[in-house]
Amino acid sequence: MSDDAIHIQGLGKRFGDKVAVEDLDLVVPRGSLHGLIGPNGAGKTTTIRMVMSILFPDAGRLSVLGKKSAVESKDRIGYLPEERGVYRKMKVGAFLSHMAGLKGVTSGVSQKIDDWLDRVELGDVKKKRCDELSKGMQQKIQFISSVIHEPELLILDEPFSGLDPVNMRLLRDLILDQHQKGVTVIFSTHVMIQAEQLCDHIVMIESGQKVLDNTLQEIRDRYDPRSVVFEPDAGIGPSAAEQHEGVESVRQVSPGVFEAALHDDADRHTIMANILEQTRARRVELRRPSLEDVFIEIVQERTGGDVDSDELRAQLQDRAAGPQEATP
Amino acid sequence: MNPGKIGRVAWREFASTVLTKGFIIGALLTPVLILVMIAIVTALTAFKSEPTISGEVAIVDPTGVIAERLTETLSPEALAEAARARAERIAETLKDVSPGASSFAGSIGPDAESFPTLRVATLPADTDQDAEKQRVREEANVEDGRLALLIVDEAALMPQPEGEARQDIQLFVRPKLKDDVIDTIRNAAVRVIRDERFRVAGYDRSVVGRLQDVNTGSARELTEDGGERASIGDFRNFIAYGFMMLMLIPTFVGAQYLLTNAIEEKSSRVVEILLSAVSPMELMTGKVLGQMCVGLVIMVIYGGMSMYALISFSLGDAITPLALVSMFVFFALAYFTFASFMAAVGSSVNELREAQSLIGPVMVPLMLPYGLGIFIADDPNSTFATIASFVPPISPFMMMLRVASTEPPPPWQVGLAVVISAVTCYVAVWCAAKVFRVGLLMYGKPPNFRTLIKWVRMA
Repeated sequence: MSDDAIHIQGLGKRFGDKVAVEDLDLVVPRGSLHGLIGPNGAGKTTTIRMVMSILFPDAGRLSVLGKKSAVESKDRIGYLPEERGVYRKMKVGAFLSHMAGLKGVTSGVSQKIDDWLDRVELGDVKKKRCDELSKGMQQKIQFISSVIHEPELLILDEPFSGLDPVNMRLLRDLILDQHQKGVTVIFSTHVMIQAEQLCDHIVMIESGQKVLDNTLQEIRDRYDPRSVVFEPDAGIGPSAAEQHEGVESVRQVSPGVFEAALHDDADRHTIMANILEQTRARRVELRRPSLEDVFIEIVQERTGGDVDSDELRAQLQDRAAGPQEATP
Repeated sequence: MNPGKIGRVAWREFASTVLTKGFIIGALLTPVLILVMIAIVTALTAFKSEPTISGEVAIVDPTGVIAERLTETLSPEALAEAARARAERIAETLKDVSPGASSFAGSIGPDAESFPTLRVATLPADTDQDAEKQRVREEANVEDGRLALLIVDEAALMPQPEGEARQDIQLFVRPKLKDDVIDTIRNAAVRVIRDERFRVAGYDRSVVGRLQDVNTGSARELTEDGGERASIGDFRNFIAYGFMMLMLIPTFVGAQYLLTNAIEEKSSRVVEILLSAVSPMELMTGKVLGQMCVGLVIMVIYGGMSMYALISFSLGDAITPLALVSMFVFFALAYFTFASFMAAVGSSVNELREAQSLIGPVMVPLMLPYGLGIFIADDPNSTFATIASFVPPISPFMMMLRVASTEPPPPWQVGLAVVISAVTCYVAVWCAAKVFRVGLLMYGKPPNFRTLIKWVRMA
């Protein structure tokens, strides 16, 4: 049995004709902070549910915290599902106490609840009913319920969805705090920038298959900057870059700002110098590819360029995407 | 499965149902309120009868004998004596069936009643009847005034003519005179007239009374063990039906709560958080057990009240130990069958409305015992009753009725019903667990029966 926090081999799951996860291998070492990224419907939640033994795989093997299934180590795992809620009519303190009890916490529960409520700036809600809290407050309560038993492994499925920027930052700090304490953290998101800001290891899933599994640094090293962003003076359009050798295409990214995509063998520095020479540009910079760019590139490679990159980008940026329908 | 976690889930399920205003008012306070109401009504009745009615009963009696006899019959002593005799007769009738009820009937004899103090005034036969009626009106609110005017027909002592009936007496009373006072006067007049008619016809009243009196005693049941006991006849069927209702109501209530609570957990999206701590099977088991305790609370409250009532009427021996044990065994089997199905339905839909089409097949078997029970209680060993007690899923209810009836079925039939119910229960829980596990995480289009069957195969 592996000593890794999670060890998955050849994992597969189908729902009727639909393949949700296919032949997935994944190793999450203890103490790491892994981001599981991919668009909605890629298979992230299904993978997580199989790790949690909420769903059972059709194929493959997995071990969680050295056990054959999460059932044997549920009390050592914290899980914040994507589909989350609270008992609306229960008081906050009673709800957290119930959850702590289910997770096997027997002593000092009340003190732990007080401490956690203070940390998330909700010190005065213990005696309030859950349905009296705002959605953001409820999400903090749900987060507490996933960490109150001091888990060794914390699995967070889309933890930031529905949070305002202030609470997003608070939650990010809490997650980093857990990571620094040595807790293994895995979180899934379809908003790739969140993973980029937080993780040291990225696993990318698309159509049920793993398409990338590297540290953030490795990804950055592998995907060189291959575009130049420039902001020419008013009146000068994309023509400032179009005619240069090595430039594949130019697109407008925002009013007055353009991005020139370069061929693989293009000389980036010469092209930048040429743009500067021809226009009185306010800004010319090499752009590092975002995880989103990397994802789109991988998908296009896999499909032979059949997928419209703008459509894919729109799909990834669709933050308001609702819960998946009729798919466990 | 972790018993501690199941216990926690069960406790939450129990507490969130029982410790709510709705349940406390509905299940606990209602019986208490009924008892309080009975006490209040009894107290009020006692209080109300405090002021004794007194006044005059005027009588116009052309026969010349009735008024005198009526004066004796309506005297307070005679009225008390008549009440005592009546109570004794009731007690005698009940003695064989229930000594408790008999002593109760004896105790509500003369002491519990209050008698009007009636003064009989005899008026001349040729008196102005309209003027006398007018006096009743005028003295309507006068204390100790005239209460009634009784006019006796001159032929009242003759037998009724063949053909058209003759009115023997006319009774006029003041407004709002209590019915029991009117009845007292009228019954006394009837009794006196009847006695006088016998006398005129030359019969001895006491002999006639004895001739009419045929003492049957109550029927005695010859039991299989060689003994005999008073038959309580249809009353035992009533008790058997009561036993079945004691199983049916908690099953119904528990199943209903499970459905709504499972839907609430799903629609509030708390379920997957729970599944991070407990397995679906632990969750379902805990919920079903929690609601079973709710059912037992209801059963103990209503069953306890019924038993107390039966024992206080010395009908306690109508409850056999076999019936009591059977009730708990059959309740458990019936409850698990229906409750697990309801939990499964609750887990598969998003709101109560969507559950309606799926719970029909559960509600019909739960309603059937209400109707069928009447026929089975009536003839617990008919072919129909025997077959019905082996048909799942109503078998536990039907067999319970038969076990608690006057003629309990042979033990092998009870055993067979237990086996059939246990197998049904096992299949229901097995299927429900599979649907529960899949259904909990399904959102979107509500499933139909075909989908549920697919889930059973899939999980």
